[in-house]
Amino acid sequence: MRSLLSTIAFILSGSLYSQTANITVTMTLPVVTLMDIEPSGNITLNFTPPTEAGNALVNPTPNTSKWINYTSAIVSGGLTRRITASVNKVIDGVNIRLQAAAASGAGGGTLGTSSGQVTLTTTPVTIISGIGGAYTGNGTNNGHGITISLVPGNYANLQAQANTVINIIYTITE
Amino acid sequence: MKTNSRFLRKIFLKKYLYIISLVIGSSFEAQTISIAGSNWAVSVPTITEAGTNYTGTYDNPNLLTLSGTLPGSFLNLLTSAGAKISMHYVPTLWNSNLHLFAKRSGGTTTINGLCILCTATINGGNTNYIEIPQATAATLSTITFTGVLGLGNSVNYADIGVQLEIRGASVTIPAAAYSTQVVFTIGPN
Repeated sequence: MRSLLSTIAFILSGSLYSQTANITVTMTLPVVTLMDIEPSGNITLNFTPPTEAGNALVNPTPNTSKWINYTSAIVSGGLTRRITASVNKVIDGVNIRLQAAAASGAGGGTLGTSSGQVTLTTTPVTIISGIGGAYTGNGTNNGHGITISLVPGNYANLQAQANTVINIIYTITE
Repeated sequence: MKTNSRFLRKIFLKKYLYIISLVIGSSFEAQTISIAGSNWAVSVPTITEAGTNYTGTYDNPNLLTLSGTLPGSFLNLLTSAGAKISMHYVPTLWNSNLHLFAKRSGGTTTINGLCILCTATINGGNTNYIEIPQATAATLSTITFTGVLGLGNSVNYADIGVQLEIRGASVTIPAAAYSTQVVFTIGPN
């Protein structure tokens, strides 16, 4: 009798035991490092000569039309990214200044922090740092708005000139 | 060592009977589930425009198909509540911002043996995607049985399509090769 009961119990225990099947899901999220300036195209900044003897040059209105967009994906514990800016050449007696605003728009993640206003030289200087896994959104009004301004530096070095083309080089790096 | 004692021989015989019944019990009468379909390597498109993110939601292009058997003894005990197909995931390397979902489509049942006014139906899981949790399994669908069972009854279920979906892919998640197992379980409801 005891054997019979045990047998039934074993059968029932076998039938109530859950059975499983499985598959594997894999997904690779790669490292991403992308940056651009929106919208494309050149900007023009001109000093205006004074109309009154003894007055200084009138500075051009700072340009605020450009935005820095970026997408960044880093490994866990990886180095954050930063964006540097430099110019291909300087103009004697003129300071080219650049300031990145705080990120705004449709982005998300660990967005970068502005370094505030910097004066550009041929040596890259950090303008945004601390970029982790993040995206700014694409196009104008997304990312970091840039203010570019021209101000006289040393008047003694100023020289009259026209159509001086300066390239600003932006680089995203670790 | 030769055993001459009748008493000891009886003890050994009993022991073997237990073992044999255990083997029979666990191998012939258990409900079963199997998956047809390959593992899913999620294809994440390359980001080419600065400032953009992944769309984040991707569907498995290949439908999985579940099938299996509910034995008669199982059905006798579970007539009122039925059986359920539940699911959970077991991560190898995963991120909590990545969410897996499943949705059922279709499915058929076949009742084997002599059975009067018997029905077996597959319910639920075919309207909205159901999230697949890690810790506690979630029910994808239930299989309910009604009727008077005779001897030798069992229910085969088959062609239960399962669409897997992943959500939450983003550049804000650390770059890595993620992997997890998705486990489907058939058991009492």
